[in-house]
This record gives sequence, structure tokens and C-alpha cells, in this order.
Amino acid sequence: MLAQFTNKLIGFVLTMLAAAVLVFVVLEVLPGDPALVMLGPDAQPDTLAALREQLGLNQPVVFRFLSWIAGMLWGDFGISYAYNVPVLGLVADRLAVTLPLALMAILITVVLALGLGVFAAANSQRLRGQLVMAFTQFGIAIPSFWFGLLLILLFAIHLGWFPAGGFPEWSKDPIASLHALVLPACALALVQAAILTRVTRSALLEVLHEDFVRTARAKGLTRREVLWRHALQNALVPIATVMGLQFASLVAGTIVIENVFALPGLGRLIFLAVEQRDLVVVRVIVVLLVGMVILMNYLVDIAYLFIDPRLRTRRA
Amino acid sequence: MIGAQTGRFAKIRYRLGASWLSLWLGGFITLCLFATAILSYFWTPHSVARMNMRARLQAPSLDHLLGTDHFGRDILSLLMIGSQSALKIGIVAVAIGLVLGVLLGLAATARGGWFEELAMRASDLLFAFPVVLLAIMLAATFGPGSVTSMIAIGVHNIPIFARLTRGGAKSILAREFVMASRVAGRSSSYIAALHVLPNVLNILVVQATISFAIAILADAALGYLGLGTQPPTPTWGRMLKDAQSFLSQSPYLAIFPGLAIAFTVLGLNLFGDALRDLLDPRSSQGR
Amino acid sequence: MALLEVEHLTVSLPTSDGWVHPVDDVSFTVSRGEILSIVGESGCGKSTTALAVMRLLAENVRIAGQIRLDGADLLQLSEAEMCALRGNRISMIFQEPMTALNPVKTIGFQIMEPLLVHTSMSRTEAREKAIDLLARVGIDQPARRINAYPHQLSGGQRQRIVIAMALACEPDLIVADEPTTALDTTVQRQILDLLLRLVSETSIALMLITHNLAVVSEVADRVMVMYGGRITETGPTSDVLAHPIHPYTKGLIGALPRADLPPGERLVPIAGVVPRLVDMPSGCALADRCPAVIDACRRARPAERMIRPAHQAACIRA
Repeated sequence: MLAQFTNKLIGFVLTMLAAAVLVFVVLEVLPGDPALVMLGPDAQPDTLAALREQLGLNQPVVFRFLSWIAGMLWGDFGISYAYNVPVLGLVADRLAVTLPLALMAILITVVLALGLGVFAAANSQRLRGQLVMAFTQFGIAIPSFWFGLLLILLFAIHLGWFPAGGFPEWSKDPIASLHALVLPACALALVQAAILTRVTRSALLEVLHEDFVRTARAKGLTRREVLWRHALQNALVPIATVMGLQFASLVAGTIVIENVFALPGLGRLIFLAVEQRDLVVVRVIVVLLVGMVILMNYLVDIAYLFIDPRLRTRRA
Repeated sequence: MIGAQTGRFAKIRYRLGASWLSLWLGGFITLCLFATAILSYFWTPHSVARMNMRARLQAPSLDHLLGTDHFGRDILSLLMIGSQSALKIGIVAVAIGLVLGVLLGLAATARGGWFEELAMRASDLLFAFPVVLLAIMLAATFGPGSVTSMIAIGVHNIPIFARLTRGGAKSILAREFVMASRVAGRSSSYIAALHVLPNVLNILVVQATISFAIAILADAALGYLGLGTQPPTPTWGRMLKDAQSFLSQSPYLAIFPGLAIAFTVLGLNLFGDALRDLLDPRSSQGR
Repeated sequence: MALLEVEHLTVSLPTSDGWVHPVDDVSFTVSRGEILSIVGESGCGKSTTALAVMRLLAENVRIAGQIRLDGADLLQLSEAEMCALRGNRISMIFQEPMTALNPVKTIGFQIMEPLLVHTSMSRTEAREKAIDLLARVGIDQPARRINAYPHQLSGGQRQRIVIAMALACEPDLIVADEPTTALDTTVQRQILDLLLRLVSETSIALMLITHNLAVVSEVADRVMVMYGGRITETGPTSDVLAHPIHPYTKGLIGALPRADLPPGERLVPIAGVVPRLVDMPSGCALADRCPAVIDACRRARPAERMIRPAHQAACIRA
């Protein structure tokens, strides 16, 4: 099992490196002169020259890339051009919003999807099971940011139960901060849960045809016990796979939803950075977010080993 | 067991029945969408080119069936015109993903070896970039716009098509008739084009429908963020962005564009899922 | 009173061509310490009979008649009451040991499960008992093997695990559906010996379903031959095998591999195939395949008649 861990770790590092190269190429090499992009076509030649110097653009490309990577490994993420502060601090502040938001959304998604998925599988021949499936069709079709708007309309404007946007700092009032994340997390979770519910159901239905399910019933377990204790873990491999893939769309959703609810997270920051042409910040956040997605997929890979003992003995 | 088996057959038959229903329903919605887009080139209930500040933010009425926006423009007309860019971007994005993805998938299987490994790793890597991030990177360097949106969504579509093509190609290349043509001295790319493409067409068509739906969702999000098609061209996503400022005064502004997106996507998804069930009943239960 | 009394058991299932009856008016009994073997070709209704006794058939299937365990009709029980019986007083052994176990749970978990569900044992006690059971079904180093996963065991060992699970709560009745069919010949032998030993040690009643008459002749006290969902012949094993009455039984016996024939040359019992459930003949189910058929066979369904003591057959020509 240790060998499999190391193999996967090497794969993770290589993928991260490749992702960094891709980001670097798109944001640093393709535009030709990043300084020109950041300052716009009307920039003075001496300002341009100064920025080039500051960004180290006079160095060869490979050197720039390597020093960028080396810097990030040492915790030096560069200086934001628009804010003129270290990017690391900026990002760390915003992560305190984005990370809890994403975790909350994942939690809601998993609880909702497993519950509904098991329910739909247990009742696949009945109307109530079919109704759940019909609802998931709608869930998949609704854009998360529109669902966010609808939630604001109902729960913030009409009922006044939740704030329509904004975010009080954690240090001031943690409860209020958490409260402000509920609607955005729900908006994010809906689509994800709809997809995951479908996956859970079909994976379970597949498993329910297996012989061991009948064995478990012959032992005297009820249908419900068989579903949760025996079927679910067997269905978990496809469910985990989809969860890993969904994480990318969750990250994308976070960017959009933070803008809907005016939450000062990474998504909001990167969006503003694009408007301000702050390539330094854009670059770091893109790598960070993509890194999270890749990390998640490797965690899922490792999770397989815990879900299915048969995979532990197989050579990677 | 006998009981379970007949139960399963009954279910397949039942599901195929339901599939035909989704096929017609989804097809109908999709057709309406295309019809609306084409119609809007010639006629809309009101002109949206001029602002009319006296008629701004009106609730739905007989004159303006879905009300007016903050510039006094007719919402229904805007939605109709908005369908143009939704379809355009969807089609171009799927075309980019389809063409490049299929080429990549075919090339990977035909060449094999390190090239295949590299191509598939690269397409896996693209999977890790959410559409919005791709669009943000492009917008940061080249500026926002419909082209940014098309390219971002299109590139994001490459991996899935590459993967499907390669998967189908792998199983077909192993079959006898392909072996025969290999023995007959045909080149790999000839075999790929002649034998593989017709055989994976089903899967590709189904995926194209689903990707089309996803593209429309993604474009709406980009439009909402202001990274996609720029004003004055009306888009559904942009309309929702504008509506957010008037959420408490004119909530219907935020309702109708969202419904337009949701129904379009629902129609395409129903159509795609039904197509998949009917073309390949074994690939069962939803996604 | 026999332990299990099945009376007029009919299993009906809906198809697009109307209701069909995979099991049609079947009555039999099994006593404590007795091995009753149900024999027939595949599709004759023997597995369905077994699953009907367990009440594990699909939900859309209808079961009529009576299945009495110690006098109490199982068909009248609620699903919850039935769950309390399954794995406790009646347990089942399946044909495919390779797929009958949950691949992601340890065998210890799976053997302990019926104990934890049906008894008030603690986890530690259940674990002790599971180790005992493993030893009893002939697994080496049971204390170590209890943490193994099914894929780490051979087919024969897995079948032993399934048997251990079935034995866990010391049931009154075990229903074994082709327990040796999927195994190698030598392993078959061992598993049969194990079952025989367990039945003689305790007073378990065993319902042994098989298509293999050789197995029947070695272990069964009584044999019940089924065809087309109906009973064709019942009686003491030695009597039925030595003096078969029904043409179908004769056919089955004639198809047994014999020393005077080259190995592997297995005869088809009787020419023709089992009729499909939807076009089951109204008279004798065997009519279309029977060498001794007469017109009267097609007219009415033959009743079971006592031909010799304790030996019944459903054939008008007997």
C-alpha cells in the first residue's frame, strides 16, 4: 500500500507541475508582454520599463518560471500590482471565506445526495423514487448563480432570514459569518447534489442486483440495513469518482457564487484582479484553485484504497 | 432469479417508454429554442435597439408580456435575441471540443505508445481547469468577450470527447474486421477514420447534446460575471447580472432569464439522456 | 409434526402474457435431522421454491398456499417478523460462493452480522463465536482468517464461510441452493461431507437443491423430483433411485454418468427442452417430451398417487 501512496504522490507532483506550466504559458508567454497587458496600451514607456523590471520580465522565460515556482514553494507569491501588498496575505485572507464556503457546500451536497440517492434507489419502482429523479433533472438544469438569486429573493428580501450578501469577519462574529455562508453554500450545493444523487442511485441499483445483497437479506437484514451497510460501500467507488470530478465545478461555482453574494473570497478576488489586469494575483489564484482540484482527485484516488480492499493488493 | 429477471425486463420496457416521452419533450423544447432564435433575427415584439426611459421597470402586461428592464426594453424581445448568442456560443464551443477532441482521441489511439500516454495525461490535466478559470485566464490576457467564452468552453470540452473517442476506438480496433484491414496493409489513420468514427458516432452525438447544455450553463455564468459576450448584445447571463440591482423592486427581471436558461438546458438534457437510453439501453439509469 | 410443512405452494409472477407459475401447487415436508433433496433441470422451479420458503422473491411475485415452520405460517408474517426469522431459524446457502459474499467487508464482519442482529451478543462474544464457527467449518487459523476479505480466499473456502454464516444462529432449517455446483469436484466432496457432518451433529433440517443425482444418492434421506414447477415424484432416496416410477425420474437416472461409459459423455435426460413458463401444457407438463405419452396425459394434470409406501408419483401411467 505504501508503494501505491508514493506512486500517487509522484503523479500528483508531476500533474501540479504541468498545471503550473500551462498557467504560466497562458498568462505570461501568450500575451507577449504582460506588463503591457497590465498597464494598457496608453502606458508611458518608462512606467512600462519599471513594471518589467519589477516583474523580472527582462529575464529569460525559463528562469522566470523556475523562480516563480521556487518563490511559491518558499511562500513568496509575489506582490500584487493593484493592491501593492504581498499576494500571500491577500490570498490567505480570502481563503478564510472560500474554504469554509466550499466545505459547507460539500457537506450539504454529500448529505443531500446520499440521502436522496439511497431513497431513490430503494424506491426505484415507486412514484416517490421517480419524483426524486424528476427533481434532479431540474436541479441539473438550473444555473447555480440563478438559484442563488432566487434564494436571495425568497430568504433575504421576502423573509429576511438571511443576509442578501456581504460577509462579517470571522473574528468579529463567527455565528454571523457562518450565517452569511448558508445561502451561498445551498446555492452551490443544489446542482452538485442533483448530479450526485443520480450517480448514487444508479450505482446503488447496479449493486442491488449483486448476489451478496441477497445473502445479506437471507441473514435477516432489512432492506434498509442492506442498503446502508452492504450496498452503499460497494457503490462508493463511482460515487467518489464523480465527487472528485465535481470538485472542479464546485470551484468554478464558488467563483460565481461569491460574486452573487458579494463574499470577499478567492473568487471575488480573482474576478476583481481580472478587471484590474493584476496578472500576478490571477496567476497565483488559478494555480491555487487548480491545485485544489488536482489534490482532491488524488485524495479520491487514495480513498479508493480504503473503500475497496481488492484495490489494495493490485499493483498501481 | 426468474422474478428479478422479468422485473428487469419490465423495467427496461418501462424506461424505454419514458425515454420516448423525454425524447419528444426534450426535442420539442430544443426545437422551440432554435425556432425562437431564428425568428428573433426577423421579428421581436418590440425593438430593443432604443432605450425608453419612460417605460422602464414595468411589470408584465399585455403590451410587454414579460415586463421591461431598467432601460425600458421589452424583456421577451431581449430573451428572444439572447437565445441567439446562447445557441451560437453553444454550437461553436461544442464544435471546438468535438473536432479537437475526436482528432486527439483518434491520434492517440492510432499512434499509441508515449504519444497516447501524453495526450491522455494532457486531457486529464485540462479536466482540472474549471471553465470559469479558463475563461478568467483568457479574459485576463485577451480581454472578455464572446470569443473568450467560446474558446474557454470549447477547450474545456476537448477532454471528454477525446476520452470517448479513444474508449470507442480501443474496443473497435480490437475487433476482427479491423484486424483484417490492418493485415491488408491499411494505415492506422485510415482505419481510424473509416472504422472507428461511424462506430463511435452514437456516443458522440449523445455527448454533444449534453455538452451543448453544459455550454449554455457555462456561458450564462460567464455572461453573469461579465467575462462573456459584451453589451449591448443582450445575453441571458448579463440580463441576470443587471436584474440583481433591481431584485427587490422588480423580481420578475431575475425570474424570466433564469427560466429561459433552465428550460433550454432541461430540454437538451432530456433529449440527450433519452437518446442515450434509446441508442444504448445497456448504459442504463441516468448519469 | 414435521419442522417445515409446505402445502399447495404456488408462486405466480406477472409477465406481459399474463400470470405464469414457476412453482405450481407444490406440497412437501422436511423433518428435523432430515435431508430432503429437490432435484430437476434448471427452470423446473426448485430455486424458486427455495426462495419462496425464505420469502426472498421479487416484490411483484405472488405466493399462495402455506409454508409452516413449526406450525406457524410464514406467509402470514410481516416483513419485520420474517427478517427476525431469516438467518436465525432458517438460513440459506447459495450457489455462487464467489459472489455471495460482500467483497468490501471482512469475513468476520459478515459472520458476526447475523449474531449481532438476532442475538444479544456483544461484539467480543460474537467475534469469539465467529472464530469457533470458522474452525467448525474447517478454516485453518480462524483467529487470523477472520480479518481476511473474501477475495483473499478460494472458492471452497468462501463456501465454507457462507456455511458458517448460515450456521451462526444455530438454525432449525438450512436451505442450500446448489451449494456445490460452482466448485471443483474434490472441493464439492469436502463441502458435502461438511454439510452431512453438521446435519448429523445437530438436528438441523436441510433442504438441498441440486440438479446432480449423484449428490442426492450420497446424502439425501428423501428426494423430491420437480418438473415444470410441479412435483413429479417423491420418496425415500434409495427407493426412488432404485425403482423410479415417473418417466422423468427414469430419464434423469439414465443420464447419470456411469462407469461403463466414457467420462464426460453425459446423456440428455430426455429429448426436448423444458417448456417455457408462458406455454406450459394444461395436462402433464412432461407430455411433449415423454416417451410413454398417451392422449389422456394431455387432458388433465396427473394427481400425485402413492405407488409404494412413502413413494408418490404424478403419472397416470404408473
